[in-house]
Amino acid sequence: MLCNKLLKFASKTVQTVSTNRIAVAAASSLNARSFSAPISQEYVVDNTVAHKTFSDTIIQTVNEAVKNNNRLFAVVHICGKQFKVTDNDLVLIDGYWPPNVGDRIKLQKVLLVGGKDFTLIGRPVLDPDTVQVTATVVDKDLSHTRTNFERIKRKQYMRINFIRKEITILRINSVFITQNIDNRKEVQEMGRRVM
Amino acid sequence: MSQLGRVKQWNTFARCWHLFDAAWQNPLECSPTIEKYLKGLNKPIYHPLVDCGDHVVVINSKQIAFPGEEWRRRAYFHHTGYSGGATWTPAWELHDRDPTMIFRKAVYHHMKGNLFRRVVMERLHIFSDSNVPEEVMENITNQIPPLRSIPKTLSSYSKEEIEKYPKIIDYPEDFILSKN
Amino acid sequence: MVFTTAIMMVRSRGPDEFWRKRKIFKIAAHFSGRRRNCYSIAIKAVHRALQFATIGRTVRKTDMIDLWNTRIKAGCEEHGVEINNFKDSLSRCDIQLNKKVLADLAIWEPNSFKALSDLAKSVAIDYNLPGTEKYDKPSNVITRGLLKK
Repeated sequence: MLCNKLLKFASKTVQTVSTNRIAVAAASSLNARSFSAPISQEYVVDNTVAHKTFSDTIIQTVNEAVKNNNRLFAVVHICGKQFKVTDNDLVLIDGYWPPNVGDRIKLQKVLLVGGKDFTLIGRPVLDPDTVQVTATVVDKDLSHTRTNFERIKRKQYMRINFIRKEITILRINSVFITQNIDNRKEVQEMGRRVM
Repeated sequence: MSQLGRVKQWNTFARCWHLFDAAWQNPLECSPTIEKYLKGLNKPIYHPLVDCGDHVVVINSKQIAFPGEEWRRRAYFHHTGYSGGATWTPAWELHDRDPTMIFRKAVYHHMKGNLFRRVVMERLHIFSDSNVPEEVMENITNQIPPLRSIPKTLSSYSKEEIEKYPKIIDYPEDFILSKN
Repeated sequence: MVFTTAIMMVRSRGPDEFWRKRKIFKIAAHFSGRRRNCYSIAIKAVHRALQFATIGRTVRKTDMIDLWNTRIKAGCEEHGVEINNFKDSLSRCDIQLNKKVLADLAIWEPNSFKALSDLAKSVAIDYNLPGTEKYDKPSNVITRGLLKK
């Protein structure tokens, strides 16, 4: 008794698949072609108007949500690494990086921006005129001393090496969206902005 | 940690109770799935050093199914520690004595032999039928779907369904189809 | 009788012995028992510890990748997508989020991760990737401009 009830709760019922997908699946699986199967008709529905209204409503909702000025997070790509940042975050960057202490920087490669109500996913990068992530270089220093110690036992081989890499510490000042997300320049720059 | 932080920590690492119906399932096939829930691999917060596993309640372990000759061929070894105390018990005999042991052994031996194993096994609760204590049933919030689909037996079809089912030929009246 | 030759045989090992050993004891300060107090035992323990630290720096990278993969897999399962379909769909859409960030999103930004998984599901279904037969196509995703070829 108990097991039957619980099975109903969790078991997957047979799913109805749309005719579109069956037609495509049958065409692709040449090995499983059966000549006795009925010819499937494909109904091609013109969805462009419905899709356009749907996407317009979504864009409108997001534009209104942006005006609430809630805290946003961004996924930012710096020096070959990606960081998930919000306002007042500290980011540590390994290695030589030109900006000096006190420089105010606008980070160009923003892969994703999100908040409580929405997420904008870049393919691969979001428009830098719409999404702005500003940061300040707080510190440029050498990392803590890393001890590189190699030893092969019983072979009188022992090497010790001390390494200190240059590091930069960045303070993310703000992550915000400046304009409506569907605002785009007619002529867009390529090359530098593509990863 | 602040008071709110403490509550958030409890909330995040709270242990869930999952239910699994072992009827018609092969315990050797199921043990990876059960182990996953016991270790906490179903959670994005998983870390190997953090104890983030859940409880799993297995019911109907008396109705597990082994393929082929496994019931006769698979034997479990036990040594009492005293001389002459080695025994090899076939699966059917072990199942008769304790219907929960086969499932427990299957999950235990699938795990890696580290110090977490004993702790994690304490969180696996196996019952031979569907009589589960109320305190345990109250905690359960999720059911792990069975891996094998359970076939419908002829006796579970109702008479009307059998009569409605399309037939090509009719058996002669004195033909014995089944004992029922 | 005075034995002057014995005294002549005493040689100083050097005036810096104290500081030479202090370098080792500093590293071994948190070891247990004689390994933190007796030099000849401590030096062996310190050599072993430094070797493991050096090797561990490269091992940590593979360990982190494994952990991120486990976390992303768990996150995908929560939303009903297979991890290979998820990764394949995201790369076909030119979404270049790396494993570290995807794992962070799966933990800290579940809504964003759900958006990514819904997108991945629809794209996987439209590309007819293997294993997508049992997916339900999400109604809130339009893949009109996303598909190439």
